[in-house]
Amino acid sequence: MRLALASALALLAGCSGLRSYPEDAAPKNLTVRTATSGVRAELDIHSVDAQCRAPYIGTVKLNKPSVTVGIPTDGWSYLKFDFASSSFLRGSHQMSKATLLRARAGHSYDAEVTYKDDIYNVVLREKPPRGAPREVPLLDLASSQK
Amino acid sequence: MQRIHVVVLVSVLLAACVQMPQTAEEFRKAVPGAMMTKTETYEVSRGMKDVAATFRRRAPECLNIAVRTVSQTTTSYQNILTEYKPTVVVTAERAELHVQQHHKTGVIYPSKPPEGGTYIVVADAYPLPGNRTRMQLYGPSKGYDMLYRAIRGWATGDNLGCPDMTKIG
Repeated sequence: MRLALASALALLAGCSGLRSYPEDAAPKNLTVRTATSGVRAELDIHSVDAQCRAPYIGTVKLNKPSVTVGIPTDGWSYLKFDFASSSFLRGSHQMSKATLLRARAGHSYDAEVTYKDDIYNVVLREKPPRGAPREVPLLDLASSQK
Repeated sequence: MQRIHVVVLVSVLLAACVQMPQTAEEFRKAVPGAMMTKTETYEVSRGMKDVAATFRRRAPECLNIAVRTVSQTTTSYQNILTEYKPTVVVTAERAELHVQQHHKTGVIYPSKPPEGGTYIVVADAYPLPGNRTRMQLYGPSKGYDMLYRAIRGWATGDNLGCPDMTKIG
């Protein structure tokens, strides 16, 4: 019985299409600080090719106040922050905020992810090796061709 | 289900058996006399140009979206695709934010909606002396609290977050 249950859960996990973002994808350069209430927050990370296609690499669950991940510095990445909620009466909902990021070697990045009172936000900052951090505007996928 | 009914009801009440407001100005005039609507006025300690700049930056990013709502019971199934369209108009007299809502599927309109969808909220920012701004909002009295809060956050500059439009209703 347990085996059957475990198999079913494994099968369901596999079918969901979600996989963990690899720990060793790149040197850790992005710290995500999360402050949410009433939603599940996740970060989907995609690579981006020259045609602006964005194959999915993996997901980071934002269930801790702070997590650090490695974003490759050899091209564009597409970061999609998802805020999901579900309830018996309202069903399941998800809102997303996404951006392209061309992470630069030697720089570190800080994403502040918030969801409170049905208002959500993502603020991304770039910290150069020396000097003050600056806010990075969120870019849509088409911007990778510019 | 309840949410969908409210959304439709607001449109119906605003239409009030006559033609739906086809412009933001018609909407402003229709709201004070319509059921389940309200006007709201407050002042913020920011200049109108700054408020307008925030509207221009945040409205397209936060409100140019589509929301699909699927609800299913043992006896019914509804699949509604709702598109939202923000418009920002800035003149010397005021900065305006119009939010329109168009149900692409799953809703029958009592009369022809305007291009871009039914007006749900119009927010006007008027300059005041001393680098202050008076906000005047028109819209539904219930179900859109997060949108009103987001607009207030943009006007004050205190919170630039986006409203979760899946929570409307």
